[in-house]
Amino acid sequence: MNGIHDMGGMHGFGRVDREENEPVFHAAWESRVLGLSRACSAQHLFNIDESRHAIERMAPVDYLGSSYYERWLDRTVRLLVEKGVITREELERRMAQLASGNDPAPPHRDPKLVDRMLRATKERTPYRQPGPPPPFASSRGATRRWGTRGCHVTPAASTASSIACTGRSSSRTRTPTGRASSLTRCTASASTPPSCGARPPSLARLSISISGSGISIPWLQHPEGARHERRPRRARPSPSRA
Amino acid sequence: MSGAHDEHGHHHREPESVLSLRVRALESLLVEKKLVSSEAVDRIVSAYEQDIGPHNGAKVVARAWVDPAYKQRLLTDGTAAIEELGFGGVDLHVVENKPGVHNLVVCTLCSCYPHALIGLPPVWYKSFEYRSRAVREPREVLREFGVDLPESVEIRIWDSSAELRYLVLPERPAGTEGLSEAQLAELVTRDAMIGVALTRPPASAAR
Repeated sequence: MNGIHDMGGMHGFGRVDREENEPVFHAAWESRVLGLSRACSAQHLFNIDESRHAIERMAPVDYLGSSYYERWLDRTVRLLVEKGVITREELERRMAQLASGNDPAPPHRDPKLVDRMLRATKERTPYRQPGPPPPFASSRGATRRWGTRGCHVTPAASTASSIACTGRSSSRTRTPTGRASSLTRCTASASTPPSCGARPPSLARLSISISGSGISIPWLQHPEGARHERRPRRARPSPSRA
Repeated sequence: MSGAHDEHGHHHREPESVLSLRVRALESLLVEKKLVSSEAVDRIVSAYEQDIGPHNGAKVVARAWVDPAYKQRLLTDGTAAIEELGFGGVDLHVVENKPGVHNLVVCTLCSCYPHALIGLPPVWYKSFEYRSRAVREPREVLREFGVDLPESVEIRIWDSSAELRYLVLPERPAGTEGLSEAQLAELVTRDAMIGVALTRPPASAAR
């Protein structure tokens, strides 16, 4: 699996733009998307793996043309529809109702939900769970390979001491340390999708990711002057700052 | 949400007004179904805007600078060590900058990041530019951030996952021996804990 989200090592992107004094959110709707998504998680409507995977299932052209919280919104709607919580028709109808000034939803209070959501920011996460043993692990390192575009090397709680990479696969040799071996149980397999929420829980997806070939990307410009995190801009060569 | 195609076949996402309306409609539906309360959304947004930020991670770093035993615990089991200071919400592995070794954190696949310690990630961290290039040309990317490391310095890149996220323990700046733990924490920036900045002594400590 080498979806568009698997960007490590891709060519064609320009310099990294930064915004001085960046706000936490760039528009109110972005903050609502984050809060709604966290609430859905707290209600066990979907888990972190499903949520990552849902973003990774976006059509590549949509993925590339969307801002970060647009992808979150796409993900949240997609999962709620797939799980039968809402329908797209219902959502469209509600949009029309709101546009005409009518919100039929009665207020709802749920203090326990508030507590659960706030606690989740402070407590241990449930994300790491025991997984099957690694198909390709050895005492010296692990090789992980997929797709035709590139390669990732898993895992890495220790230093990448050597990397060998061809266009299709790579291998990395590391010298395990006591800590590294306890931290890095490689669960990669050829069929493991490279998801940052991938199951089984591969750990340290450290360190090296190399693409075998460049990819040209059909850049999209958004016609509206939308107020949110910027969408991807047209890629330019990246001149180094003198 | 499929967007729309114009007569040239170009794909456009929705305009801001439609996005905003869609999000309101989603919230309205979930409130109506008693799955979500607007107060819950308000409270989590407020927590991220006001309470959860780099000042948390700075406390962890400053403690590690002044307490060698804590530093050892932090490097051995980051998740347990931050719990000592009241932080959680993340499975953490801390990587230490040392003379000759610089660490850089990225999430090539999306945006994984230790929120509890440094807040929600900035746009650049989630950008296609950073995600693609940090692993291929880290020195060039670091130069764009104003960090020009000699070739002799080894750069270690840590690609975060949802299950395990990384925090850089920056080097304590020279000339800070007389500072208190709280004063040291003031020197620690979000960017230094991602690895795209170095920590500076007080006279030049500007974010």
